[in-house]
Amino acid sequence: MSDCDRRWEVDVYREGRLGEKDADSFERHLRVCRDCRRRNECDERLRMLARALPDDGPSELTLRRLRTRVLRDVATGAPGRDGARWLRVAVAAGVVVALAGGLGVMRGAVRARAAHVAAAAPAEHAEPLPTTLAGTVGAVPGARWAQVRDQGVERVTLDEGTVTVHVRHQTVGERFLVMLPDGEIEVRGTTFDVTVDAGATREVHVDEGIVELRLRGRPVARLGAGETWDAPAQVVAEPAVSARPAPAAARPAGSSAPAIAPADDGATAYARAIQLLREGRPGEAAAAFHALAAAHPGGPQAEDASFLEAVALARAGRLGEAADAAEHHLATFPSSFHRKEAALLVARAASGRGDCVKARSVLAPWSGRGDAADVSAALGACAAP
Amino acid sequence: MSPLLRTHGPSAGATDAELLASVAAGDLAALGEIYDRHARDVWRAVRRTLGDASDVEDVVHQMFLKLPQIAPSYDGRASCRGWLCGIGVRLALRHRRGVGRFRRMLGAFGDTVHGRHEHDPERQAAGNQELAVLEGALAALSEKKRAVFVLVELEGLSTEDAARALAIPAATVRTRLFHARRELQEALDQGGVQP
Repeated sequence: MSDCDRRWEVDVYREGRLGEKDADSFERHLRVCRDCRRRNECDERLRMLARALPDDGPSELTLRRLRTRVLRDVATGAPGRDGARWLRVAVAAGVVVALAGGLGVMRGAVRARAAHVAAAAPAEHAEPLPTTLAGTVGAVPGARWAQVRDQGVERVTLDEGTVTVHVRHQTVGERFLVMLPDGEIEVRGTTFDVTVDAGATREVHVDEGIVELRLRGRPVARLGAGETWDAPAQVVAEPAVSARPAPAAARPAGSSAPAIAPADDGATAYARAIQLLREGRPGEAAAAFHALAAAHPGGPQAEDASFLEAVALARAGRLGEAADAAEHHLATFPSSFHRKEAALLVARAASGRGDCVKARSVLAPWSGRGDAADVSAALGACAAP
Repeated sequence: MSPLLRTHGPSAGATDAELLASVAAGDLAALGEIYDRHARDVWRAVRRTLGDASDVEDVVHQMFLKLPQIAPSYDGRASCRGWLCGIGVRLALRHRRGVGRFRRMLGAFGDTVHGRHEHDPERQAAGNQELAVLEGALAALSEKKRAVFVLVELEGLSTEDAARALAIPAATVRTRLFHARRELQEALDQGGVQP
């Protein structure tokens, strides 16, 4: 292209690496040297063209999903090679922060929002629960949130903004909750986004798994993969908590169709049954749970109601009926979150009537897994070989 | 048992260097902040280096996964964008070395060149032929030249910064850049695109 012996200076000039005097000199040279001028123009044109190429950047959704994946894998050491070291650092950092004093404030705030299911569940978890954080939280800048784990119960408190949460599958006895200004979300292993604005939940989107959204004054909404819950417009306009029931909305991702109300609503009946149990009226609570599970077999409370019916019957001293209800629960919900507790109820009853074969078989999945204490207690005399 | 606690403090005002120091110390929130600031640019640089989109996510994922280990080597300049892009590009080059991947890339490049540039009447009708020619020529560059061109011309790194990012001498960057520009210019000339 050129035989000019100053051609090499084109790059240096364009990069700004020439001193002031040399740059002036080269600019004068450019005015008279056609070859250097042409090369300078060609390179500049090339740069402009290159920067005008279509932006091949990722979509916002892709970026957010990848962000969740990165944070999850760093926290859990999923790739294996260096993950364990990072995990130890992360856990140590978390413990140090906890000891540093923020703990008291957080625990107070979190306890104030204690979940009702825990109150009714038997407190017999002898198996060791994982002590590392189960959830990975990715926050959009500006979000205010905190994460605390205590005795197998992990809570992310979201005050404002948007977070993406990935939760590994919860083992028996573990719970994972996202505490919202106007309610809570419970999950058992999933990836989802949640947005809080002006003290009210605006949007929940689920990428994987299932989440249960419980907002005060609204029906419980269970969202599956690809579904989004949007707050009705008036809720955003009136933050805080509204006592007035408003339609919850579940829609497939990408749909612009109007919100669809859930098909059934057992929330009120469920709350009433829980109240009866708390008031020490287990017989009536059992009947209420039974009626609820029968009326809404596919509803979001059906699984808990079915189990709590057995618990209520046991508290009422009707152990035989409790065992039947627990057995029914296991048959209806074989992957139930409460399957171990239900199995313990069945085993206790079977052991009591001398049916050791049944007692042992129903607890077989938990024998030899570090569950020795509660399994032995439930087996009673049947524990001996 | 002491509960675990992780809080998210305001980090919007922190510099990249401060955030990377926190990342090195195991702060996930800082890692998230660095990701938010630079992931899109890293993605774009990796995408251009690889030539197609199929493995970009894996490379970017790998890069941020390694960040806690490599963060201490950051030299503390105000923005780590160029440094991250350089790491991403190096990982992309390493990623490309697998034979299987290379074969896939060849197929992808073929699709890119033929699909996008010769059979895209909309683009040509819109007067973007020169961009189509440039895109094809960029994809046809050797990966080393393309990496240098991406970092310097697209991401705006100086030759020194690109050299540091790629762990090669600055003179090598300039040589590769020179040849990359010449090949691209020839492609534009042959494609009837005059400066």
